[in-house]
Amino acid sequence: MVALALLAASSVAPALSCGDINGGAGGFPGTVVYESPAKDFHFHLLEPPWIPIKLPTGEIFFLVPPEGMISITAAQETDAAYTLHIALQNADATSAYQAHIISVWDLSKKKTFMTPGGDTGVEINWQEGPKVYHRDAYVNGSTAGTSYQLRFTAKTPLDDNALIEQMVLSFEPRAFSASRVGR
Amino acid sequence: MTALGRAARLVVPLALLLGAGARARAQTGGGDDLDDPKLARRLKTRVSVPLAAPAAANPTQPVPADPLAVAPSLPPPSAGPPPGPRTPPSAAAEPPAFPPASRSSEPVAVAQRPVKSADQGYGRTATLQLGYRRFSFVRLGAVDSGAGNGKAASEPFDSLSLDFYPFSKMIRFGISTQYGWQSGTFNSGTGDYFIAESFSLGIQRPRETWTPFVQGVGGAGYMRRFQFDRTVPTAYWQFGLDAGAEVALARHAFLTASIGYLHPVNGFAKEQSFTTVYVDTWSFKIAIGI
Repeated sequence: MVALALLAASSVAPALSCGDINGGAGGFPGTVVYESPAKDFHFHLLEPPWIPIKLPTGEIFFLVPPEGMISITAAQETDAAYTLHIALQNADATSAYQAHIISVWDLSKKKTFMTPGGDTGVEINWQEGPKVYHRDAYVNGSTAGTSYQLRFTAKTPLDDNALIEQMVLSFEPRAFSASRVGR
Repeated sequence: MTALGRAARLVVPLALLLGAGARARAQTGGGDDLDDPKLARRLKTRVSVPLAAPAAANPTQPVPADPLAVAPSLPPPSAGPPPGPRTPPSAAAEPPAFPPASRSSEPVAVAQRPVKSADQGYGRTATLQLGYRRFSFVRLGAVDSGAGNGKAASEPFDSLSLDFYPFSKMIRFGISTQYGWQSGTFNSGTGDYFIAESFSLGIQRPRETWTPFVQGVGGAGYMRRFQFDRTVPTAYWQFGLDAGAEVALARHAFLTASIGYLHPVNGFAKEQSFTTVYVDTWSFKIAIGI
């Protein structure tokens, strides 16, 4: 009888909570939408572990605290496992990319992409130093001649990081209310 | 005692037994078919149908523990020294007419008789299985770039389970301890995994060499998500429906294969709230059991 009661409970409880979000549908399930204060762009991220940090200058950047920490301050940015800075560029994606080329870039790693929202861009992975890896993605803006630079920094290589890939591909240079991908 | 007397004492019970067996076959439609193929496989010819005849012919009457005791030629227990387990007193006093092994096999058949008469259902033994299941979930925070609509990337899971079925008759009930890991990341420390305790309840129809079944499954546990080099603790639960069959491998082993519908759900913190993501998927499971 006890076993049957447990079975009934285990069967009923999930039935009452079959889940909120259909993971098989689109719209970056399980993620949080971040929309810029100016509503000129938005993207999807997992929060946690990502935390938005607002600097005194007004800039908002994002970081992942290292394992074992649940919060971190801007002053501890170098300790973060991952960081993301987003900056508006006054050039299209390709031009902005070329303007940032430095000698350590292996240009053979350059990739072009198109987001589900139909926005195009270019990106590259590179290593600045021991345990300092970057992934720079440039996404064309909604206004001609503009783009956004997404600079990811981590202590591990970012080439094949599927979670970073999602953050890049979810980026849309417009308000969330005007999203082409939807919720 | 003369040789003729000894022969008569052996022949009379045997004749009674054979006669009872014939009556039983006539009343039941005959044959040594057992209701339960599993039991039949295990017992094989050791189960003697004639011994079950009294119970089948008159189920309201108690079945004597030893059919030899009903032989009218045998003296009552109080009339002489206590007999051996299945040997008439006079025979016990004589040199054994059969090798000991032959004599000991006879009581075994009688001892199995109550098992058949008491179990009118299907199956009766608890079973233990080691199972492998594969299904696809979604990897939170990763995107299927080919879908073009922000659909999450598929995340196949392999899982091993230890399934204990306390009873497995027409109704089967099981308790399963399951460990699943993101396919390709076993023991790597960099993948997602879950540990869950599940219960199953279903029906089955044992047949001669295989047993088809359908069962519902439900359970819950812990899921570790590995995101951005961090362990993110989350909740996991699942329910589903399996349909498959058990196939006998040997006298005490069987192989199980099933396919089913599975509804895994992952619950986790999203900003300051708790949210859940689910999928509806197919699963495949194989198991070996005893």
